[in-house]
Amino acid sequence: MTEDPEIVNLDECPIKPALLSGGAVSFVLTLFPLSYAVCCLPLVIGGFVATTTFVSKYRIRVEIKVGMKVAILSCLAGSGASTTLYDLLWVAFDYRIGLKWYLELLSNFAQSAPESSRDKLLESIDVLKSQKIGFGVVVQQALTVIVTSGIGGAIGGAVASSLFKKGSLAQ
Amino acid sequence: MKSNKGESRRSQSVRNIARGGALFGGALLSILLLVAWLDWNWGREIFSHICHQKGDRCLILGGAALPVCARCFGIYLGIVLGCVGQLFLDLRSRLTSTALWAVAVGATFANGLDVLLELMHVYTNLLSLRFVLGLCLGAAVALFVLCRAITPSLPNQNGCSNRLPSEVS
Repeated sequence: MTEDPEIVNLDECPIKPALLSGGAVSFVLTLFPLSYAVCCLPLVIGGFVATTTFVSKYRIRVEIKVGMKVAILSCLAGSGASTTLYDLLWVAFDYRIGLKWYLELLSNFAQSAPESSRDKLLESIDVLKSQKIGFGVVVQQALTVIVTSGIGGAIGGAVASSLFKKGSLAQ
Repeated sequence: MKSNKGESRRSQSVRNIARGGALFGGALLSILLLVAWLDWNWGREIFSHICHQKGDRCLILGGAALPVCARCFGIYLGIVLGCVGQLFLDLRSRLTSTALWAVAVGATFANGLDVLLELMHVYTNLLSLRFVLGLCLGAAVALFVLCRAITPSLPNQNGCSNRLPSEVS
């Protein structure tokens, strides 16, 4: 296997454009509670888009750790922004994005679920309905953003950095 | 001599990535098991944003359901097993690129087909199948990433220059 002879200085490749594109995708995909249906796929896609943008913009190939870093940061930015918007609307207008749809989905799950898990689902529906925003909720959301961005971004960034192997090596 | 040094550094770099993947993945699995074991609602709520957590689709541990579904748990476990496999069996030097593509595409296709067949009501809720398919997908992705990983180059290696883009132009 031949390698591109040039090595590019990574410091000369700003990650801002990649953060913007990956963050925008993560923001849109996490704004609505899609994750309940497709698990961490929205953040994997967001991270993948960020790293792909990074390598294609500068025509470089990157190590996994670099790809993962770019992807995780973009997922943090995107899902952090969507969570902030969610909270702002919740505080200002007592409106929670996608809650109605999510409650309907949970009710459907509860109807088809076995008796053992049905009670737990109904209980979680009641908790969601009566939930008020406060310090505990915000801390929980912050932890959620960190955990989900870490998992989704790491997978998406690692896949993208191992998929695109053309161009100069950036290190 | 230089080539051996470069190869050794490359393989060390991949081993480090595999070690990191195994450690972080292992930590994640431990947290998932702890959340289920302690029936920790706060932890369950955090993971609710990366999985639907439908009770009948989650593996049960000590009477409590895991906070992620069987497929997600399988994927995480598969990633850890893939990393451990690379660490101890050095699969990077044994698997060809074609084999990696075939395994990764095959595992993704099998999972997609499983979802489709469930949506078409061909069968419903085969927990073990979902777990095994997730496991295959996780391991396939981990091996794909590790075996195709781009590793750092040695300075002044044969055929390489350390010129920066500004110097090139």
